[in-house]
Amino acid sequence: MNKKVLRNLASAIFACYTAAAVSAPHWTHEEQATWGAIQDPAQTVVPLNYPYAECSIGSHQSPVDLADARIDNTRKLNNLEVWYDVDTPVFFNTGHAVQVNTSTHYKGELKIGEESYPLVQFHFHEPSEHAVGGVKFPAELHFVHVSPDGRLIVLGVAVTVGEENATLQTILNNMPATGGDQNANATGIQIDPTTLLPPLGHNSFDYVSFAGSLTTPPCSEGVQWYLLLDSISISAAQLSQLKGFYTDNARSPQNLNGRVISSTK
Amino acid sequence: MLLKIFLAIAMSLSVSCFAESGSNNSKSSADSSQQTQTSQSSSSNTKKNSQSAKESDKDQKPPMVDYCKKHTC
Repeated sequence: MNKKVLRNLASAIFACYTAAAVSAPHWTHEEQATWGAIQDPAQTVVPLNYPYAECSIGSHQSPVDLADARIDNTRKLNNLEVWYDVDTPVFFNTGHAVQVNTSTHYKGELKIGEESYPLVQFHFHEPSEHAVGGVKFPAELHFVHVSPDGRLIVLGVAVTVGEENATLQTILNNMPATGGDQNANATGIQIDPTTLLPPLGHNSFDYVSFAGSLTTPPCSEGVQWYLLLDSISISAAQLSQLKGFYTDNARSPQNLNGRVISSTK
Repeated sequence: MLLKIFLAIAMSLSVSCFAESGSNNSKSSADSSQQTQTSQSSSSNTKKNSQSAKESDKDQKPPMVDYCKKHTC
């Protein structure tokens, strides 16, 4: 009971802060070291005039370097069940990333234990945001899920260079060139998000999980991360095309501050 | 020390924000109770109202859904 109240309280605070940042000031990945100091000239009261303060003072920030963490693989973790459907999504160039928003009545979801988390959108970072011993992957894909009570779950997938991915090609071909634009002409084009996941082995994905944050301002905490241990591949030409939209749109790994990472193996 | 003060202000604002949201929820909760009472007084409309309330609950999505569709998250 207490856990549920605390969880709802955390979600409400998360939503309040994030909503406050909806009309917040412009930011870029180049200035990420000082995101917390960016001021909102429309606000005069502390801390509202620092809408991204959590990027600097938060203690559970994302991404992280997995090699720096204490890994706990002794606990039995929930299976991840991916129930994504084919969708006719919206192709959205956010101004910071290549993003695909699911349609309004999309039913695809991620099931973790007994709880279900509807898929809201997925987007790409180049290079990866999470690192292993300082080494990054060529890219990283984030599937963003929001539960009915407002909690965020992000499923991260490392992207390597190898075979072409046909679904990514459809996304790249239909992505508007200008930041802030959505592709209205792409109506009717279908995407199956499961084709952007690694092949399922042993009926369940192996993963690591930890508490973190949004990796872009306002860097709100309360996000639960699940990073798959297997990767997907895209071709060198596709990586180059992805870079044509955004390159270096990745936040650097943040301090773990004692966080323990749970792992299925 | 300054950091502690900053965090204290941030937490109190969060609570205010939560309280505001809570009062809105209470209001909508009161509204829906009223709706239930009305529907009880009119037996012919009971099923219809109850069904539309359920559909409305189903369609109501948390604000984070809209936020994450407009931002990278």
